Amino acid sequence: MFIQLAIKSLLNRKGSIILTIATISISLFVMLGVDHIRHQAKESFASSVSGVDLIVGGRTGSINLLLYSVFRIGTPTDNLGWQSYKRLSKERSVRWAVPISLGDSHKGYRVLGTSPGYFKFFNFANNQPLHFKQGKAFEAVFDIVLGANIADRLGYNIGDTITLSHGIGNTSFRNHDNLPFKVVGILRATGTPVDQTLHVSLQGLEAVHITKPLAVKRLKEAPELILAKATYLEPKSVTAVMIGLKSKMAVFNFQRQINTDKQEPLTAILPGVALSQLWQTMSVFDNTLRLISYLVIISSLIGLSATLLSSIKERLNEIRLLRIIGASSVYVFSLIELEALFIALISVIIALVSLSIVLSVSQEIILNNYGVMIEPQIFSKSSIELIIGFFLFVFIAAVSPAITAYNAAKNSQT
Amino acid sequence: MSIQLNNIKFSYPNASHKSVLNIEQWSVNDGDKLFIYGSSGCGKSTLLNIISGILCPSAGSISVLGEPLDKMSSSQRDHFRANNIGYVFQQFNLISYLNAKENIALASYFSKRNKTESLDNKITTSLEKLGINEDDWSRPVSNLSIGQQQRIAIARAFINSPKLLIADEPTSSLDEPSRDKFLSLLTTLCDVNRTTLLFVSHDTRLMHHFDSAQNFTDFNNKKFKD
Repeated sequence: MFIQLAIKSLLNRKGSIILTIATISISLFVMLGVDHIRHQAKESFASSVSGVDLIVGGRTGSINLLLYSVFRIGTPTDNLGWQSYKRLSKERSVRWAVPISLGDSHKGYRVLGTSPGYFKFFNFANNQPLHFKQGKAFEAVFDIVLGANIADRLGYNIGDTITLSHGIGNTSFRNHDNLPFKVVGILRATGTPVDQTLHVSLQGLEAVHITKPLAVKRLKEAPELILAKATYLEPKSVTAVMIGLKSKMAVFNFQRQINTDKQEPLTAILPGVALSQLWQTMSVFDNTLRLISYLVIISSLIGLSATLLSSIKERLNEIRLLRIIGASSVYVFSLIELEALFIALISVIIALVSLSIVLSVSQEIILNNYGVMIEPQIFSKSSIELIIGFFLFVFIAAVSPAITAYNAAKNSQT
Repeated sequence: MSIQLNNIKFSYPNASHKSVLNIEQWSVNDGDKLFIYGSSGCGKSTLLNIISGILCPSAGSISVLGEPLDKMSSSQRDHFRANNIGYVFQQFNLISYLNAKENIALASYFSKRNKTESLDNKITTSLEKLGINEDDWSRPVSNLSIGQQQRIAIARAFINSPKLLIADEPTSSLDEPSRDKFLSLLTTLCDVNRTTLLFVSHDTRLMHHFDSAQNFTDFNNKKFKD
């Protein structure tokens, strides 16, 4: 009867209650959305590179190097010479070194030039290696390996041919369409920027940039040219080098050694450290967003309080009547609180459902544009804590109208 | 003795210098149908709120149906009221967003009396007796006429078979024919249930419907004796 009374009373005031629910749902949507995206972005960032001890590039800032080498965001300020790569890979403490080159694109997706070792050594999340969904790593100059999303989105299969564009962006004016690449492998989805990348050999990337007509003609006649026979296509420079060391203990010494290299100005970063630096620079933005979402919640709860408070004035007769038929003042207090909690419950449900829908719809768009994987699964420890906290604040917001009702019930002066 | 008041004094806390009630001795016998008249604002409603246990007297002792109200806790008084006292007002007798049956069921919900008969049966028989059409039972009471609402209020007041019925100007918003119909219904039901009736109004023309009549100012002496 208690619950029924609260529900009927709310239904009786549909208009203002629906508006209140809408306000609170939107603010909850913002708060839970911000919280979810924060956590997911952090997780996605942290899992974007793993098993790489150092990333080395031309002299630049560490966050910049991380952004372009791992997230393919921004542009490298300077390359590093092929000789430096050779030298680094021969160092005693180095277990493996994988060069990467960026700069070209295909339909807006970045093309990464690298060596076949990339598929063996580059890890994501918790040391998870890359797996092929179909096919294998490239062996010939004009082989190409696709990230999972690219194959999905653009509908490519093994054996299809692809031409690259010079520079970045969908509307590049220069296409390398005289030298097409053949799809030989498709990677399994990782939820990292790898899914949005096309992988070719460094030699392939070098080949499409050759301008001498004779050389181009020769390449065109040998589309199956294997890498081992294409030593003359060795690049002059690469964007960055990813390095795995034999011993983790050596990482700081080796980093210092690279940073103070006499032959070429280089920057070496520890991906984990650079990731947390990047996260820190974003924390101001992150905290501001969180603060705003809390303020939005507070203002919506004040709105709830005001709506309930003004309703009490209209319900004095109802309260007097409840008292006369035997309801205690505490009952009247609880009735107002229950109504507030009902409004909160409905708002939470609306916010959770709409957030789930919006996230699952926008998941791909976010991944494509920002390289961040946002799971639409919104139930986490943190979101449940926020919801519990929210109910607590709803209870507090309803205390003032509930006490007004309680006092009206206590001293019903007729 | 249905109601017994001894040296009751009352003033509202926010105007404590202004005495509202000062009653030395006053009582009502079991089964009486008593009419109390007096101009509006003279403290009649305050007296009714004290008898029903909503307000507590500032001083003095009060017993209703043999129970000392002034010695009860506020929740005991709430239970006592739900179980033993029926109430009919001039208006706003019913919760507007509930229908007739729900309004009556709500009154029964607060009472902890043994419910021998099924509640739904009890509600429908009393609504039938009071001449409310079955079509109107499930409509929100705000859609019904004042006369219908007052009759539903009677059904609500009698659902817990109260020993005392308090009526505070219940006929003021009714026209004459419905007023007489209302009063005969009310008095008949009090006779059948052997309920003591306390009827308060400013309208002395209604006096002849009752066993006895008293002027409120005759037993309420507003001046405190210092």
